[in-house]
This record gives sequence, structure tokens and C-alpha cells, in this order.
Amino acid sequence: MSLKRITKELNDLGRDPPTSCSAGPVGDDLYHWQASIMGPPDSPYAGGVFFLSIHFPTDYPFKPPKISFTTKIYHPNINANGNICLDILKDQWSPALTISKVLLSICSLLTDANPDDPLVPEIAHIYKTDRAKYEATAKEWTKKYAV
Amino acid sequence: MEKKLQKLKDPSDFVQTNVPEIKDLDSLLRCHICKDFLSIPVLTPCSHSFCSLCIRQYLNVSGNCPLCLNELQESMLRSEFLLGELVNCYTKKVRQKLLDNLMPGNDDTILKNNIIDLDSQSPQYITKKRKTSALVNNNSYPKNGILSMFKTKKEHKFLPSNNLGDINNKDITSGKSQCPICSVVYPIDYLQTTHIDECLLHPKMKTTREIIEDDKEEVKTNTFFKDDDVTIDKAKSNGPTSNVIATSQNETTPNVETPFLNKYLDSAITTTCLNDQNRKKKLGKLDVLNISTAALKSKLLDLKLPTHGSRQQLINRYNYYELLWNSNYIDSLQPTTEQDLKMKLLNWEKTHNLGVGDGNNNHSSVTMSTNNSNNSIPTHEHSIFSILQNKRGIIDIKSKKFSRKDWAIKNATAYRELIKEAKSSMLTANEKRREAVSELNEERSELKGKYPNAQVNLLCKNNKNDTHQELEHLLSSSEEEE
Repeated sequence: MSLKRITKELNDLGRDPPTSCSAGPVGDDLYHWQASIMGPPDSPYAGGVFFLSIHFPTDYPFKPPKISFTTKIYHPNINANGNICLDILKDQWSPALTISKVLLSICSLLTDANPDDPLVPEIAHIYKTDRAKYEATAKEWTKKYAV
Repeated sequence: MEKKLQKLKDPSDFVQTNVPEIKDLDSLLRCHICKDFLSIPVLTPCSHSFCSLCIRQYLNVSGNCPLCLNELQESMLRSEFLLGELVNCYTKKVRQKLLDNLMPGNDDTILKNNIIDLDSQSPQYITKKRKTSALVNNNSYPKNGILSMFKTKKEHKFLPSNNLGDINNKDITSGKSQCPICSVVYPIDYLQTTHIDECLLHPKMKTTREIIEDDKEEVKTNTFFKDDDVTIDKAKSNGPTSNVIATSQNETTPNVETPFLNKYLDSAITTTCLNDQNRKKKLGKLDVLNISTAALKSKLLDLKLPTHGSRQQLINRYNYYELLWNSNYIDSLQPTTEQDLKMKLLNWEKTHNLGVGDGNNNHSSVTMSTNNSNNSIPTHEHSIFSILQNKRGIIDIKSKKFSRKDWAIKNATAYRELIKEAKSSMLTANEKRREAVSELNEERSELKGKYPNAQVNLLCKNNKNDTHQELEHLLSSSEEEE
């Protein structure tokens, strides 16, 4: 079941790719993909290309895929290990979701961070108190790690 | 992998046909969990439909509807026979025919040929058919599919023999030919490139069916319990009238599959289906915390299931079998055999419940036993596990040892591909926006030329400023990308 569904999603991604994202398997292992997201133009991540690693559990889609950034990124909801704090990747996961939809959600997380439910409290604090400083650092990190 | 992808049936298969809207129909008949066609659909109280096995499996780990996140329990699910029959009818009979017949340059010509031939050369047949069709219409259409209207060889049987020759000649001169397998007339190009291969793969899909062309009376008496019942229940067909149809059915479709249509109606009429004493009872859930391993084993033995493996494996085995059982015997109109379920269970265990020692599963069973024997030495066990992981190509990206640099170097080419893809999709999106903007500008300048009065000018001026800003924004953003 999981393999069939993953193949289906891969097929759909090929036919109808989401804007500014892409994803595909690493080698022959269909349970392990990598993806790339272009930094959204209206965010401090504009111009950067961010890579993610995707692991499908064997009981996918009943359990959410494990997604993390492999590119370093300065963001209140993404920590140094690349872990993402996103509800649909945890308790709000639904088997009706697809990788394409999840990637789009991550894109919108880059544009609109959620400082009220932070993974890195320090960044969230700066985000709330000194937005200009946050944007400058985020831009700098993007230039340094993602271009 | 390419081959695997091509085999998948996707709603977008219909995009290139003459009726791209069928794409929506195709996607509506799919389950939101497995994204495949609904198999044994069930309905939730929130009016969402899923495959029985999919939703039952999901409700084992969650208590919400996957679509609306409302609370949901297994006991709330209801079978949806009609939808099941719809999907069966569509996937097993109609879909491939639709695809074959709706390919551009295909359907029209076939349809036209037949209509011309019938009208000009066999007026007697036509009138007869029209009379009867008024009576049979409702029944014959779903059974034979709309596309049976594109009758070919079987239909020509009713015409004088010289007509058949005419048709063939005409077809050959207009670049068409008959498929040697299903005898349907197609354009030669299509025949040679795709059709014959498909025909060889699915010979059943291509058999065309006869129209029942017999006496009005006969058809009339059979309008309700027509063809399906004849094949479902041979006993019903001893009447002289239905015999005629039964034989014609058997002639034309020797490998007729299990009849789907009206099955759910029959079940309502006979009612034996639901209250049958032989009908299997629902399997209960396990009380995982309180049940002893011995009791668990005896439960499995009662179901004639294997009892080896750890306690957790036994629990998993029972739970999955319970899902298979209930989705088969409780929700389905046409349950399969226990043997079938056991095969499914075996297949599932190979990938999900490691440790079933059989020939096909040497790798995992060996590693499992090594793991068990080394339980006292956790470090060793860990190393075996990591080797196993590496063998399967799984690398723990969250561990501290994981090196981002090595990873990036190792997968550089794959990443480059991904960047290219993402960039191109972004560029095309921008291009479209830009085109739309320039079109708007052109329209406006035209408008300005046509009505050079002050008000319109003012309006255009204002709007033009907006579009300028928009364009500038677009340009700047695309520069950033590059």
C-alpha cells in the first residue's frame, strides 16, 4: 500500500509539479526522497535554494513523512538540525495530504513564520521584538548557506 | 521505475482525449488515502467515502476523519454498495473503452461510419432497433456501456454481407484498419503504435457486445431482469425468453466477469445476503493490555493463523487480520475467501511485521534472530541495526554523526536536477503572469484608441500606473531569481 501510494505521488509530481518546489527519490529507494524549495520572493529567504530530506515510514500514509531541512536556515520554526515544527507533520497529519501539499505548506511557513509556537525561542524572540534584525540575519544566512 | 510510472492509471490520462472533463470523474472515484480507485467503499457520518481497509487501518492509529478531522470511529462506518458498484463498473468495463474511443481522431470517424452504414443500407434494422431501444434503453446502456453504441463487427452481422466489404474498403482507403484482435476499426497509426499492444494485454476489455435485436416482446419481458440476472443466476434463465438472450450473451462474451450491475439491488431483494447464517461474524478488537499470550495464540489458532513470533508480532498479526476480515466480510457485497485474506496477510507481514520465517523472507528473519540472540549486548545489536539500515539505504539524518557536507557532495547531481526543476516551474509561472499583464496592457491601449474621451483616458492612466508597478515588481523579482 505505502509503496503504491508513494509511486502515485511521484507520478503526480511529475505531471503537475507545484510552483517553486520539486521532489524525487534518492537512488532506487522510493521511501527516501529529497526535495528543494526556492525561497519565496516576498521573504528574507528569496534567492536561496533550500534542500530537504524526506523519509516515508513503512506505514505511510497512516503516519506522516519525516521531513527535515538539510540546508541551514534561520527561522523560528526550524532548528539547527533542520527539524521543522509544523502541525501537519505531527498531530494534524492526515492521510489525505500529499508531499506536494506539505511542501507548499513549508513554503508558506517560510513566508509567514509562527513565532507563537517556536522551535527556536531565541529566533522567535528576535522575530517578535526586532523584525528588521531577524530579516537581516535570515538574509545573511540565506546568502551564506543557500545560494 | 519509468515502467512502473507508466502503468499507473491516472486521472490525467483523459486530458488528451476529446472529453477532458472525464478527468474529474476519474478522480472523484478515488480514495483520498490510497489515491487509488475506491475498493469496498464505506461512508463516514461526515459524508466522506474511503476504501474500507484504508480507513479502518487509519482509525487504528487515529480517531478523526482524514478529510474534515471530525471525530470518527470504526463502528460509525457504513457500507456504500452503490458507489462500490459504480467504481467497479467504471474501472472494469468503461474506463479503458472510454480511453480507446475518445482519443482524438478516433471516436468521431468510427461513430460516423456506423451511422452512415446503418442509415443508408439497413433501414429495416434501424427501425426495428429504434422501436426496441425505447424499451431497452435504460437497461442496455449501463450493461453494455455507452460505447457499445460504437458497434463494429458484431453489429455488421445484421447487415447484408456485401456491406461488410464496403466498410472495410472504405476504412482502408481512409487510412484506417481493423484490429486483428478485437476487430474494431481504428486509424492505422493508432493501431500500430498503441492499440495492438493494449489489446494484447487486456483482451477482455475489447470484446464488444451484441445488441439484443430480437423481438420486441422478448425484450419487453426482460427489461428488468435482463442480462445481469441471467448470468448471476442461471436458474432464472430457464424461461424461453431469457434463454435467447443468455445464449447470445455467452456467445459474445465467453469470459464474462462477475456481473456487478444490479448486484446491490439483488441483495436488497433477496436479503439473504445480509442475514445469511453462513455470513461471517465481525471480528472483535483485542484487549491488548489484558490478554495473555496464550489466549492470544488460541485466538490466532481459531482463525487458523500462524502463532510464531514475539508477542508484539502476534498482536500486529491479529490486528491486521481483523482489519482484512472486517473490511471483507462486513463491508463487501462480494467477499473473497479466507484463503485470499491469508495471502494478503502474508504479503503484509513480509514488509510490515518482520520475523515471519519463510523462504522469501530470509533476510529479515535472519537479522531478527541475530537481534534476539544478542539482546544482552545492546551495542552489538545497535551496530547490526545500523548495518541493516544502511543496507536499505536509510541514513539517520537526525543523528549527530550525520555529515551535511558529505551528503551534499554525494547527492550533488540529484540536487542540481531538483534546482533545475524548481527554477523552471517558477519561471513558467512568472512567464504566465507577465503574459497576462502585457495582454491587459494591450487591451487598454486598444480601448484608448477607440474611445479617446477624457474619462477613459483618466481611467487608463490610473490603471497603467498600477500595471507599471506590477511589471516593475515582476521584473525585480525575476532578476533576484536569476
